[in-house]
Amino acid sequence: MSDEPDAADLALARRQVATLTGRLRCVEDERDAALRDRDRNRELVLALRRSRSYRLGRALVDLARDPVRQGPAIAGRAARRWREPADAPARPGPPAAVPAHVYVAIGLSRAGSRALIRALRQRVLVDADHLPVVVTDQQSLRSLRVPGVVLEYLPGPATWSRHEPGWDWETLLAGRVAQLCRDHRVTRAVVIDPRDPPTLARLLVTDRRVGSLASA
Amino acid sequence: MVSLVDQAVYDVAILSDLRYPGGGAASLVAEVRAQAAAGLTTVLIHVPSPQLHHTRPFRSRIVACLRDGLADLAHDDDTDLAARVLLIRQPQIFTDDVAVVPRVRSQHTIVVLDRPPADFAEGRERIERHFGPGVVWAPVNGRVRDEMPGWALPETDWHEIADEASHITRLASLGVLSRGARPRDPVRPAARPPRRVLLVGDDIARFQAIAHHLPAGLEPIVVAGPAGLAEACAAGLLTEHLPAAADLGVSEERWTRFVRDRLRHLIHLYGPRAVLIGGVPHDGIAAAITDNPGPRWLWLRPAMWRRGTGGEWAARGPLFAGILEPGEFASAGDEGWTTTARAGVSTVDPIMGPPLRRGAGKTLLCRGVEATLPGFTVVEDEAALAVSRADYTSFHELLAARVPTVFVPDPDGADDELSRARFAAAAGVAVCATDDEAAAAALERLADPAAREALSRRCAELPFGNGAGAAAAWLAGHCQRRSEVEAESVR
Repeated sequence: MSDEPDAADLALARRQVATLTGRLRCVEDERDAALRDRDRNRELVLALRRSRSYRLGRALVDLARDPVRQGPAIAGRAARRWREPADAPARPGPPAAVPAHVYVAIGLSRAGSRALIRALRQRVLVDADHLPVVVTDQQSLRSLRVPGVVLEYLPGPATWSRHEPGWDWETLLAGRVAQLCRDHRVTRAVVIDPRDPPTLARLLVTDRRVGSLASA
Repeated sequence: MVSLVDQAVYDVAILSDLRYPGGGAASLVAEVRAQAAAGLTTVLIHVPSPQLHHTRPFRSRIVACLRDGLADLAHDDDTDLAARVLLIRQPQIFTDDVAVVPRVRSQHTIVVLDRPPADFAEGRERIERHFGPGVVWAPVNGRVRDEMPGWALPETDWHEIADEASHITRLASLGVLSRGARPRDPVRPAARPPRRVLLVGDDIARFQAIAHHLPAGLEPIVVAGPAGLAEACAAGLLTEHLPAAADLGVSEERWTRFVRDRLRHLIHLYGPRAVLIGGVPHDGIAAAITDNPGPRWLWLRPAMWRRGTGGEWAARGPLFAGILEPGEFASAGDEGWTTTARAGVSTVDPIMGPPLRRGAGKTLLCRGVEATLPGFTVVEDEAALAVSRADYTSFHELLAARVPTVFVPDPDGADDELSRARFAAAAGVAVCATDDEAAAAALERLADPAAREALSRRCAELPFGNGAGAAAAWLAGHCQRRSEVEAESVR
């Protein structure tokens, strides 16, 4: 048996590189945004400290350290505790949004796409720890739709080359993965090998690479 | 003839003053490119002309050839060069003694004369002394040839090349054959980027009809929701997907941001000249327009709204650089809000796809309605009789094809199907049925060939044509105009 990679192996490798590129692009954007936020917050803090309001507030805090003046505040807190029993349940906040995972499932047959999407639905039923976003080149999304799985369409390589848009399909994929990462708040991107799409059992093994599931 | 052995041999050596102004450089470059494209190797030999006293750089086009690796430049030392053919251009270089005469061995030496060689006796003598008596003197055209009486000239001129093949053919006649391979990628002029237009919405039938009539240099890309995606792909259009809020399970507010971001991504990806919105310009579209002022935003605004609905969209009109309203056969029965908001709106005939064909025999076409008629076979197209919803596309296609039709308006349809069907019935071109019993009765009446023929004849008298071509021209016209942002950036 030859160890030489065949065309399908190379195509899969190119998709993995493109997906990784897209994911990295998004991570870089997030890093830049975080840095901008940090710098903006620093400027705000500095401006606040220089402001007259801050200086006035600061003086009030110093005054509050006087025990005589802390009396009314202590009384207020006690009154609130009396009105609200200690064992009252905490008010529930908005449900925390689960992170999304992108599954690049290009080149699968219609039946294969359907089986994968259903397996992902099963997977999030087992553990709703993420929102699956499936990138497919199947055109009839309506018939593939299942609850809890977001479907995104991407023109496949053959369709793309027919329209000769001027750049290669992997570039399109990288750009789209970056966009999907931003749109859906994606934390993980996975490229599906169309020759061997994962079953539920393999999807449940999340702590290491499994077969055709190459994490990017 | 010189024997060339044990030495790297170029296919063609071109000797000239590579700084020389004038059209000679263009011919030289054309030959270099043709040779490179044919897989032939070229060396350029620069011999400074004693007549050019000023220090000048090489001609930029020649620099480009060297930069792109289409030719080598000979060293200006005493290195011997060998070539199958030596072309000497601008032989007037040799009217005076040159500082250094390159040592070139070649099987053929051709002196290309692009001007009459007046007082050229000394130059001719120098060239034949340096490059041998077998030099061929080749005029570039008949005018130069006429000025050279008494010279031994070849039968054909060394004309400027009209195409690569003609030059390679004449080199082949000298024993320099194309290798059929391109060792270096020839430099091609940068391809002009295609102009693109985004067609956003699920109005696929009208998008397809317009796209069919767009000029060749304008590529449409459909951005469809899940409802229209498969239809747009099946129509052969490059298609992108815009998920609906329900598909994502997000709030309207979140979806608005999603639409804005997705359209920003697609505009960045395709760089369209214009974005045509089919349907309603909801908040996501409005946000995208504000966010992306580059392309021209256009609205394919449907007419025939149900009375009292949709008026809130009127305020979105000023967001667009142009609004096009597809024509309606039943426009006289239109009671929607657009009837009072047509100032500055372009209109065309009803926009339809390729014409349907009326079938023969007992065939029944059902569109959006399930029906049977005893003795009739239900078919997918080319029917003698139809029963259909009165949606825009079905309504106009069936009437234009003169197919006798029973229209059963959908009360929940996006537009005013009831008014459409009633108008058609009043005009005598179709039958309107508002429930299943009425539809069945109408179909039974139309089982009579005479009744069908009467409707068909009345349809033939209809005045409307297909506005798809005019809509495509309107769209292409907008794509030719520069956007406001482009114009401002130029100012």
